Amino acid sequence: MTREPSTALPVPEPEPDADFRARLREFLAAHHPGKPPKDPGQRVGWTKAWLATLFDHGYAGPGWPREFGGMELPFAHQVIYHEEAARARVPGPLGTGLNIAAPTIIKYGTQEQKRRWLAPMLRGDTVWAQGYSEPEAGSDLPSLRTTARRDGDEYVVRGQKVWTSHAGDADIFFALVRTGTRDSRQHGITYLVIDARAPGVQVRPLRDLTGGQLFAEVFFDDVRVPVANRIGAENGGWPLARTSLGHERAAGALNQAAMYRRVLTELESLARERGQLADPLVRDQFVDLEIRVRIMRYNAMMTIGGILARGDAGPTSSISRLLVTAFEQDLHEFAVDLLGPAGLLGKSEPRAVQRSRWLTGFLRTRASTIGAGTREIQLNTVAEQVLGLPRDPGMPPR
Amino acid sequence: MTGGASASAEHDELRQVVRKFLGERSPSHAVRRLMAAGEERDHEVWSLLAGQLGLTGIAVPERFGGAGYGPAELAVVLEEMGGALLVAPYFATVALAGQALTASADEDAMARWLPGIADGTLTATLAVAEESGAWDLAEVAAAAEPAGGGWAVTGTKLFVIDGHTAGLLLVVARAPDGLGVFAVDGGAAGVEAARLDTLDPTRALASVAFNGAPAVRVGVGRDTAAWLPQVLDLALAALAAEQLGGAARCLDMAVSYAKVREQFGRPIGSFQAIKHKCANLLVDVECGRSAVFHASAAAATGQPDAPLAAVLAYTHCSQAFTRAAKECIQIHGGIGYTWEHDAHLYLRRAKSSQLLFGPPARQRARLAELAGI
Amino acid sequence: MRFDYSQELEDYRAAVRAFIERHGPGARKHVGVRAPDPDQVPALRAWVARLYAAGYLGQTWPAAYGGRPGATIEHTFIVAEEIARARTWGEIGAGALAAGAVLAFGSEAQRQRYLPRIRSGEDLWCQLFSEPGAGSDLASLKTRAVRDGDHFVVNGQKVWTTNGHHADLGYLLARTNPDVAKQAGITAFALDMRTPGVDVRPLREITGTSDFNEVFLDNVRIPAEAVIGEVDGGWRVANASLGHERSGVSARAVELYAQLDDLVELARRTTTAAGRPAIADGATRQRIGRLAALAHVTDVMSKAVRSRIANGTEDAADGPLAKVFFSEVNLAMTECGVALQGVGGMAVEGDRQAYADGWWQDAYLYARAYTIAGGANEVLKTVVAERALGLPRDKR
Repeated sequence: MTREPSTALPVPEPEPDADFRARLREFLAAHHPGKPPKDPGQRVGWTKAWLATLFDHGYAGPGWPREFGGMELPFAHQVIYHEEAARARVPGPLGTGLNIAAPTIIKYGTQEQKRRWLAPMLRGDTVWAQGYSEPEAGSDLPSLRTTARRDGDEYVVRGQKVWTSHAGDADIFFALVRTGTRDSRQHGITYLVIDARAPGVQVRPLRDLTGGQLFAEVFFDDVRVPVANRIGAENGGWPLARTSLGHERAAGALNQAAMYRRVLTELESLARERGQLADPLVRDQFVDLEIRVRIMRYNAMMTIGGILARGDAGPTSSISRLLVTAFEQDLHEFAVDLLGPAGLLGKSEPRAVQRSRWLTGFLRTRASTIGAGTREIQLNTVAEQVLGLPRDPGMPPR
Repeated sequence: MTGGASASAEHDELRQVVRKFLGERSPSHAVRRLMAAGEERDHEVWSLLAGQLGLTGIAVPERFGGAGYGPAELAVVLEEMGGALLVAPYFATVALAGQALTASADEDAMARWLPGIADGTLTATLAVAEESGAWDLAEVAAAAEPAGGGWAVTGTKLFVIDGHTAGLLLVVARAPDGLGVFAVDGGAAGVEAARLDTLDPTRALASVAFNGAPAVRVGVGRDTAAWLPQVLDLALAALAAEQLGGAARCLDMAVSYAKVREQFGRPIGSFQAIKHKCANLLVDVECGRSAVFHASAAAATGQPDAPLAAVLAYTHCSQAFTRAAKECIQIHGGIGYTWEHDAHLYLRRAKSSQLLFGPPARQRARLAELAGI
Repeated sequence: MRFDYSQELEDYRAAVRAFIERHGPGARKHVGVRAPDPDQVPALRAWVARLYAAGYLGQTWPAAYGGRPGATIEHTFIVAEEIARARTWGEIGAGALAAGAVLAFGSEAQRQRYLPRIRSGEDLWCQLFSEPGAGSDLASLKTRAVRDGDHFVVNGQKVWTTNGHHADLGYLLARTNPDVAKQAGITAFALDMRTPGVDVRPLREITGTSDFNEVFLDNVRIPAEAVIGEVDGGWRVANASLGHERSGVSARAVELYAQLDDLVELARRTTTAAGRPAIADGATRQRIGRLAALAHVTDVMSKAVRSRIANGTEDAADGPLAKVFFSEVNLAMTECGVALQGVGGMAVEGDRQAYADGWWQDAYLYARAYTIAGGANEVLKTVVAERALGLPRDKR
């Protein structure tokens, strides 16, 4: 066998502490911020206020160390935390800092860096956005070209990043920059934290295919960054780029499964209202999605079970993203198909079904199989790292 | 091993024991020898499997001579057997008949037959399908009539797994008071069984004609509708586990080959076309593992979603296994198209398992119903 | 581009159809490129001879070698289509392929020697190209031919040889020069299959039938005059003859249409849970409808290719594209056929429960061969991407 199948036995409903769940549920209900405001600017404020509420009551950062304002919960409780948060439909994090930068800081930052950055990020006082991808460095990230030249106790950063989400709201960018030679690839990359308001930083919103402006280009024109803002060693940034904290992602997968369970049920209700569920072909497509959405949850539980039983997430965790991204694309396309011509109506049309959410989703989820590693790259990773297949000689070593 | 508890270490241990045993006792050449001879099992392997390993009694309650485990442990065993394509009446005897007798809660029937199943001296099967081939209780036409203090069964069952060799046939038939399960001795007068020539030579299917065959009713005093559907769901979950094992083995064979086979001066596994195929199969297999795990755990603990979980696991694993078997042939190229290579045995098993309980569309329709779609 | 045929060609089609009905050897038991049973071979040799004599095979050859004046490639398409429609035998073995090579690259003596015996059915040919280590990467073949006076001594192993056990002659590729680029050191030979050292062993395939062989070559001596084309020029010979054998293009669509008719018939006869025929079931109808559309696309695609071949405007990607598409539609169709039969889909040839004596089950298994043989689909897709779309070449 190429690998040992996981036979760990997850408890079907992880509920090691019903009191904790009840307490949490009560808190979430009591402080619930209500429905999200329609205006994007107001929505940012609304999310920030919620993050502050969580932080001030000691309900922020379930997996984070207490020292930096987190709850330092055991993993089983983290699962409950995410389940309840999904159930209560409270806002998620703002920006990508909490999920991507924070684990790196917690693991590799100096004590002073942790003190300076973590609590304000957790409380929503500072919004962090990521600067990894570049126009010429997408799937092949080690080829990135944004340079950082050392000048005394500062770096001078010059170059361009792209596909940065939340760039407009960001206070801080965490970026990968080249400090090594031009062809040093992943061996010459440094991890820098850059103040978004520093002179020379310019953000230009990108209009994506949905017509929205979720992403931006970020230009650095001789931006001066203190050396104290470097995480890890110079030229040692590459291994830090994909740090995850414990098994937060596994808990996140459960959250996502719960979210899509809800979305699928909503689509089903819509089809029922429209009298389409009697059509055996429609039913069959729902069956397909039903199987997949349930398996997403089973997978997440399997992963969690593996972690609880032996601290190992197992291979299910590496496939969850492949599964989710294909699912959300198929789900939204099916929804648009179900609606027929009505599925084509834009938000502003009074006849638009559910404010055009399915159409928006159809367009938006094109990014699912591109961002954070294209589907093709992820398949390569799974094939090489889980199945041990040989590397493509044309590709850089991972 | 003690019954009931289900910790991962125990499952792992069980898996290793079964895998090692099958690796030694049911390698490809042994499967092929039995297949070519048309034999239903290797008696020596069966007696070791039953006696030394106690696998025939794994899901039989302790008071009837079994180990007292349930569907979750049975799933581990079946997964390994599916991987090895074991030729033996294990699925029919243990997963079908054994679980049916246990589910019937009929003390007399259990006391009479379960000890034989547990110690491996009795092989048995469950006969449901008729002309349409579907395991659909509504389509059962075979009849049971009271006769001389017992019953007499008349009708023809098709696609009965190991139906021509089983010592005990549990036959679903219509009695005057409704549907029932009737135990018929495989050698009884009025029973005529013949093996069918089918796609999968590693699993025997038979047609069994009953002509007033003497029978004993199983589950007397209990409404059959209360427990028989549950048996069919247990069968789906069990078959899903077997399919998962087959799919995982196909992926394994494909990956091993892709690492060593060179074309154009490099291992074919370094080409993304092959790599992506393999990674997609892994997704299928891992999803199958989660689904099977959930189905067997739900059945073991009597969760309300157990029927849905069973249909779901079976439907997913049916697709996963056939796809894995087909891609396994494709990745092997020409050599995978030869009779000598095992890939086609898995394709045969995969396609047969997918159709074993009726057309896949029916399972999907049932899933829709159970999910409230 | 014309998709329909002129009246003259349609008349010709009618004549071919009548000829097959009158003289043909009857329908075949299995679909695909399969070997006949040994006891069928004498009759099939006679049938091949009859097809040649009537001008239905080899008609585009030069008239001096038996070609039919006025014959066009369209006539050969029609013959192939009609043979497929009747599900009967055409030429067995690789005679047409070998004839193409001999006509284009052979000496006059070779033409005089080999062509008449192909036409008379006396010589059946097999193709000795693929090897265990050289499938998709044919140019990496390792069978060695070493010059020894006026002979070559050949050692190596070939595989996937259809009709190897029936063949009188083999169209062989062997490596004569190992020190040059892999394509540049290959030579084509005509090998008498009765030469000492030629050992033909049947393979058994997943269908349970033996349509292919392995051929072992152990110090086999081939006279130098049996070299086709130039020594070390075999890659060009092989490519030209493989490219020349295109009559199958339109026959495939005919095969799919025939299979589609069968599928509809099957759906009429199969009943669903509700006791209705499967053909009345919405999901089944849609599935068959989708397959019908795909069969139609295959047809249109092959007609377009056929027309381009006739006009000499064929694209290098045409063949691979058509083959990939056909093989995938065929797979889907055979899967549907087996699935429609439900659990009955498990009964195979010979069992009385089996529908149409297991035709679908055999076709289902054989469909796997179509996605591998003649270039694995994965490799052909790469060829399509490079030749038709101009994508950069992979390092191969």
